[in-house]
Amino acid sequence: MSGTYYLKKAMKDPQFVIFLILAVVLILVPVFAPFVAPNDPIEPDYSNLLIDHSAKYPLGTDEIGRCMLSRLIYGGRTSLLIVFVVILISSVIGVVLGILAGYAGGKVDMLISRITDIFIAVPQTVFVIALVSVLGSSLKNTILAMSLVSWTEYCRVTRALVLSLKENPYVEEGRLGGMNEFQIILKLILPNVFPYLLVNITQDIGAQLLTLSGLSLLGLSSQPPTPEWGAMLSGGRKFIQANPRMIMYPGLTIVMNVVVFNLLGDALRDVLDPRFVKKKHHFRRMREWLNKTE
Amino acid sequence: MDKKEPILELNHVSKTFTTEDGREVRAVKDASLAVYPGECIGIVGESGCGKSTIARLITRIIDPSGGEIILAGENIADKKGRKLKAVYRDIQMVYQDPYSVFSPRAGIGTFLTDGLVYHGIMTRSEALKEVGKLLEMVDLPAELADRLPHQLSGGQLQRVVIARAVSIRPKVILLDEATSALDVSVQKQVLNLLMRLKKEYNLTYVFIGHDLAVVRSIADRIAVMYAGLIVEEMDSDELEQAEHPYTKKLLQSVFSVNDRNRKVIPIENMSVSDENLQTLGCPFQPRCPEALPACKNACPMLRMTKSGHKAACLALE
Repeated sequence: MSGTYYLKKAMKDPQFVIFLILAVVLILVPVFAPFVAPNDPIEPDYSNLLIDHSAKYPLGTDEIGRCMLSRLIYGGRTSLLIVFVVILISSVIGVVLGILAGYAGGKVDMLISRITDIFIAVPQTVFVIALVSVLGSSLKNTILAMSLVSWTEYCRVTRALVLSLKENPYVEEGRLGGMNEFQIILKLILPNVFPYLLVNITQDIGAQLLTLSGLSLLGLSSQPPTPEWGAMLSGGRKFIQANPRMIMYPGLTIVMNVVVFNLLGDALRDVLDPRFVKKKHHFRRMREWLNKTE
Repeated sequence: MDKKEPILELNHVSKTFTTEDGREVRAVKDASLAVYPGECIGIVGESGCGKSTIARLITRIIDPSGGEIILAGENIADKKGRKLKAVYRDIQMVYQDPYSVFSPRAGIGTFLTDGLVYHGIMTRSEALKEVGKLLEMVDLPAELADRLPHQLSGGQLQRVVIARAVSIRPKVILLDEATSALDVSVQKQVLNLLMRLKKEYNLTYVFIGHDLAVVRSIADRIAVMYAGLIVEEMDSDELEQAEHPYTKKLLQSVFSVNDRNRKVIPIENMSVSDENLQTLGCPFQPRCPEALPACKNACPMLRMTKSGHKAACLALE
């Protein structure tokens, strides 16, 4: 019922449609990597080391002759998988604790808020680096460490939202309408938290990608030969003078992903606001947005 | 009417709020009121006099600090948990601002059926079949069921809220400033609708408002509140013969289109401060033109006066 309303509204918003398509492409290409990638991402080709580009290797090869394009495509699997799992874990933890804190209030709120404060007080990147160094760098530990620092943001946002939402007369009306506390949270609070959450998640994808790339650059996430964008960036550093494209292509890929998911989140926020109806001048506004992100 | 048992009775109900710095504010002091089935009782008073607190006490959204609230012979003042949910079924409320009663993401149909579903009266699919009938009952087209709240006007939303309140068949419906947020022509329509529904379904209303003209147009009896006290109670057609000095002043302050030559509004520009809320004597005494020396020391009780009103004023005793 209300779903079709938002769908219709979304389809009329060019910014949303464009970036949704781009985001879907960016997700689907790595998912179907075996069908899309021209070469094996791990198999070295010693007769074609560091070539610029050719028919067989559209974006050239790296120092042991692996296809750059294929590595970028397969790399998306690792990078995006880590990012999505981290966001899933941290948003579930954050939202559950945030709702608990905001709705229950009192001592529960105090306890949860203090724990959140402690996590926020520690510089996040330093914390992740320390954690991964101690636990050993592996996919699992990277996900664990990143989730551990990023749930706090979800918790804080959700708590603040719930604090204001629960003062709405519709909560009181729900209670008079026979709902118990659990039903009020599920039917009246959560649906109104969800849109903000969705926007947060979409924009978080970019931020997490950057964190992950930073970690990989330091050699603290997936281990070679698994292709991963940040790791590729790191591997290309040695060739920055002779072969700048080894840094350029992974860098561009990361930037492209970050920009697309951020702008998708931006458009999503407008679509999901029931009172916001976008007027004309879409394209002028889009240009402004693009200028801002630069 | 007097022979019938009251459906709702407040016995010396009080509510004290504690502010953050530890001061106590007595929002409602010793309020007693009886509501009979099928009647509409109006509660009037200026801002901050405790009208809305009374509404929230009756709906048991907040707990009273003292006294009894008797609904259909049963004291509901200290009910909790599941028993409280049963109380909510018997009391429904219509709020001042219809926009904020709707969760912005739930459709009108969902809103209308929620009450029936969560009170266990019907299943969702049964209730959804009733939606069209409910909307027609409040003069709205049945197609509105598929809309979202922001696509309706304030008057339409208020009608939906009324339909939901009536659908549960509560014993008492509280109308807390139910028409104040609407513009005047819509106000009139909603008032007419309320009166029609009252007759059709034999509903009992407690109508809370600050506008004496609106309240007297719908209420059978009127209780006037001042600073947390009910100062006078009478039939609404006897309003002109009000005896309490505050009611008299309130009456003079009612605006009318006809009297353009009216003089100054007689009630001084002085609101109810904590100071007069905490006084020992009659809270209206500092503003009262008829105050006696004794008024400073004793708070009058609501008593029958010679003309058959109930008033709380030492000067009338």
